[in-house]
Amino acid sequence: MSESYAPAPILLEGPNFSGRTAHLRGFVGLPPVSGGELTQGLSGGAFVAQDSQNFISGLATTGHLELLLHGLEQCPFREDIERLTVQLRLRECLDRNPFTLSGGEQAMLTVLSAAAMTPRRLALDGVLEQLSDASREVMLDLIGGPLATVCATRLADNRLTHFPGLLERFSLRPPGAVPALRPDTPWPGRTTGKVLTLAGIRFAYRRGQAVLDGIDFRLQPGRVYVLHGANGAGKSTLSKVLCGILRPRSGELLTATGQRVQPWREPAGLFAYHFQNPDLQLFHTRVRDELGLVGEPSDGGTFHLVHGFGLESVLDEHPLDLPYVLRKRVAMAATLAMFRPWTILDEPTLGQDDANCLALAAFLRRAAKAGAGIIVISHSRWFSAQLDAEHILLRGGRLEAVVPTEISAEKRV
Amino acid sequence: MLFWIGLLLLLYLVGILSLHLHFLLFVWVPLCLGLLLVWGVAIPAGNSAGFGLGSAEAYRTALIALRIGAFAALLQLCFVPLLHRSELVVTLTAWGLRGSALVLAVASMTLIDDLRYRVDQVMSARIARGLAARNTLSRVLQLPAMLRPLLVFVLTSAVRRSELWTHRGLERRLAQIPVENGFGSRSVSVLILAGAIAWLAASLLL
Repeated sequence: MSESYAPAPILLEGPNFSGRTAHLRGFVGLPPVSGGELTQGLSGGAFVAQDSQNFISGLATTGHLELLLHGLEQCPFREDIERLTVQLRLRECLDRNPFTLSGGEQAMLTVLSAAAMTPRRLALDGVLEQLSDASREVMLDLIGGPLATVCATRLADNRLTHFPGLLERFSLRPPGAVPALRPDTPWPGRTTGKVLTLAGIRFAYRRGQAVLDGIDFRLQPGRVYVLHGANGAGKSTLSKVLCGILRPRSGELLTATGQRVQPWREPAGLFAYHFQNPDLQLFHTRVRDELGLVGEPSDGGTFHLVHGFGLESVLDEHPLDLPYVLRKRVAMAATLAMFRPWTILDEPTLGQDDANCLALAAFLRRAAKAGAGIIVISHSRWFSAQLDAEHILLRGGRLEAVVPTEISAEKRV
Repeated sequence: MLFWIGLLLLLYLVGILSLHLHFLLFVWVPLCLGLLLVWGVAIPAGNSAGFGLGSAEAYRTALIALRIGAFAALLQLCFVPLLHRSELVVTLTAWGLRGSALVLAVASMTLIDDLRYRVDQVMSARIARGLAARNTLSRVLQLPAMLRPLLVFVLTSAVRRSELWTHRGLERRLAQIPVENGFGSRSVSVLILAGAIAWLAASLLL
């Protein structure tokens, strides 16, 4: 972090349901939940939350126009923002439609757009959680540097709470009992993982540069794998190839007996994939239906998930009516409830506080010990350290390193 | 003929000829074939039953040609700003749209892209959840099941976007985007618009 880091931004600390989102929305003149009346006299504010896709205007056909729309031309620190787009490797993304960008790229674009407005108040609700450490530091330099001269910023960010002394802090507490993940939940799966070998997996979007450039790796069940890499390194693309959503240009997926598996040709039922954005994955009108529960949840593996993810009280709610933290949990539980040999969880900790992250880590460790195959994509080193995982580092579409123990200095709690 | 050569040359020079050809091949040609099938084969009242392509030729050709021409020209007219993707706002502003009308026009055009990507995302999510396969037939069969999430998306995003636009004053900001930005120019936009109108007029009058 740079020496010139200004103390102006305030980090709101607190567990889930402690009112951080409502506080941040109120800070910039928005009602506690979307759809209410805007507060008069508090114009000139900007709010960006975890579901960054919802903070793209939909009025610009390219990322560059999105920045121009938000006033980049008049912005007093325009040069800083343009420099950051280079640092964050966003230049090429700015020529694309904002909706086609990856989750991390959308998060960066929405924060930079909000900054380009030169707002008097800026509220960032967990949006930085989607960024790699390097990208987040660059963003914090902007927030604490040029932006701090004109704008008061407040953030809620579960990952930043692990960096004491970085920002001024303000603590909130929930008013009472809240639905939480339960750390003692057993893995209810009936299936176990299968050994799979990835041999020379290559993938490129049409007319584009290779996103995956020859991935060779062997996946062993009974372990948790964590995919690391900067935004755009190919983590999500690799997951989509494994699930059969994308077809690789070349390469093979082989079982332990050498049998070729092609999930992109016909679903082999090997992988279940939880998307970074939970809203994409919720299709039903009740949480109960989303999880595939028939009748009362009295027994069976899925009930353990309902209990473990603290979803009993919302089973009859519409999934999209729930707050982000619960939508994320519902989508995650629905994916795990498929009980596939391998489950891929893309940024499972988004929006979850420390206690919930620890409970989730304990659950995933237990699942792996029971023979399930678990792959986690996460930018949180702290969470990764809790998983006793094998770490796979991707860089520029290539497998750069495989580290069998924690790669960060952070220790398991 | 000179008009068409000139128009093609202009499209090539501004780098959107391939987009136009793509549009013609994948939207206009199937549309025309569909219309020919419906209108060409349809038997007008008072004629004998049967496959009436021959008789249709006799007295319907002109009407069919007019309808197809007009329809294609209208579609082309609607899609011209989409082809000018990087300067949609600039083009519409140059045409004189301002305020709510500008927001409405831009939003309605970007909505097509937005929905296309959303369909892709929902389809991916359904494949990931084991609800669909990757092949084309499965994708087509998924359409009814996709309507609900898409409708929900349209409604929720409408609420969220209206809040975002109001809170950030994007209507005002939209009109302030400098016209000189973008790769093309006002004159090119006007020429393309004029070409589309000429096409419409030629379809109706010639």
